[in-house]
Amino acid sequence: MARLLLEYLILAFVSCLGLFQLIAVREGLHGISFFNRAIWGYLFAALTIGGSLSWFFAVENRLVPGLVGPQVFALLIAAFFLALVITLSLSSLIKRRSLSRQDNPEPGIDALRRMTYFQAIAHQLRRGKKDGLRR
Amino acid sequence: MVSADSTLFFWINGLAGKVPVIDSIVRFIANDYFIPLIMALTVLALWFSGRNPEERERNQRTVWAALIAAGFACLAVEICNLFFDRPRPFEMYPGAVQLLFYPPADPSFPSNMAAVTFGFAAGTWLGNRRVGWFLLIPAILVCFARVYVGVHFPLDILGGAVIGIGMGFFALLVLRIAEPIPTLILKLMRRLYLA
Repeated sequence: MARLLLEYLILAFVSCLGLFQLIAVREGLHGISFFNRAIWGYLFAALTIGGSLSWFFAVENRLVPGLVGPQVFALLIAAFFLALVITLSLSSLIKRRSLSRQDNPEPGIDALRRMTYFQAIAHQLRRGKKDGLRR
Repeated sequence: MVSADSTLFFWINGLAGKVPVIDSIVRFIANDYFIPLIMALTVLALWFSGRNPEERERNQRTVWAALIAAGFACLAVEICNLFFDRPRPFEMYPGAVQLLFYPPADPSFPSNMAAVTFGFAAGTWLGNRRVGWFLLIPAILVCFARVYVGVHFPLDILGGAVIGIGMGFFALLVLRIAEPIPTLILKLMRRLYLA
C-alpha cells in the first residue's frame, strides 16, 4: 500500500512538472520555464506526462484494490504543490541570468512573463520595505 | 426501475469479453488512477489560462469550484455508504457477470468514480462551459467503462452523477456564501504571483 501511495505520488508529481512546462510555453510564462525554446518545453511535457503514465501502468498491474478516492485526491493535491515549489525554485535558478529584474512588474502571474519567481518575490519584499519606511 | 437497471447492465456488460483489445482499453479507462489524473491536470491547467486577468480570475474561481465539488462529492458518497449497502453486480448475479476488474468491497450505490468525475466536470462547467464539456467526455467514458467491466449498475452511475452535479452547484453556493474570503485569498495569491 505504501509503495502504491509513493508510486502514485511520483506519477502525479512528474505529470504536474510536465504540465507546468506546457503551461509556461502556452501562456508565455518565461519565468517558470526551464528552457529558452518552446520546443524543449513541449518535448519535456510530452516526455514527463507520457513517460510517467507509461511507467506507472507498465511497472505493475494496477487492476488491484488500492487507493480509495480521498487518498487519490490528497495525493493529487500534494503532488501539485510539490511540483509547483520545484518548478518555481528550479526555473528561478536556471533563468536567474537570462531574465532581468523589472522595476514595475505586472500584477499576479503575468509578472512571471518577464521575470523569475524569486525575482518577483524579491521585488515584492523591496516594495514592502519601501512602503514601511515611507510610513 | 431495478429491473430496467439490471437489463441495461447486462446489455452493456454483455459487450465485454468479445474483442480482447476493446476489453483491455476499457479496463484501462475504468481503473482508479488514469481518468482522475487527467481530469485533475486539465483543471489545474485552467488556473493559469485566460486571455486577460479578468478571464483568468474567472477560471481560478472555476478551479476552486471544481475542487470543492469533487471533494464534497467524495464526502457525500462516504455518507451514502453508511445508509445504502447495495451489492455489486457480480455479488447479486454470481456467475452471470463478465467481471473484467478486481472485485471492489465497498457498496455499489452510488458510484464514487461517477460522483467525483461528474463533480469535477460540473464544477468546471458552471464557470467555463468549453472546458466543462471537455471534462464531461472522460467522466462519461469512465462511468460507461465501470458498467462494462461489471463493477457498477447503471443506477449506481446515475446516483453518483447526480451527486457530482449537485455538488457542482453546491460548490458555487459555498463560494458565494464564503465571500469575501475567496476574493481575499485570490488577492493574496496574486501578491505572491501565484494567481
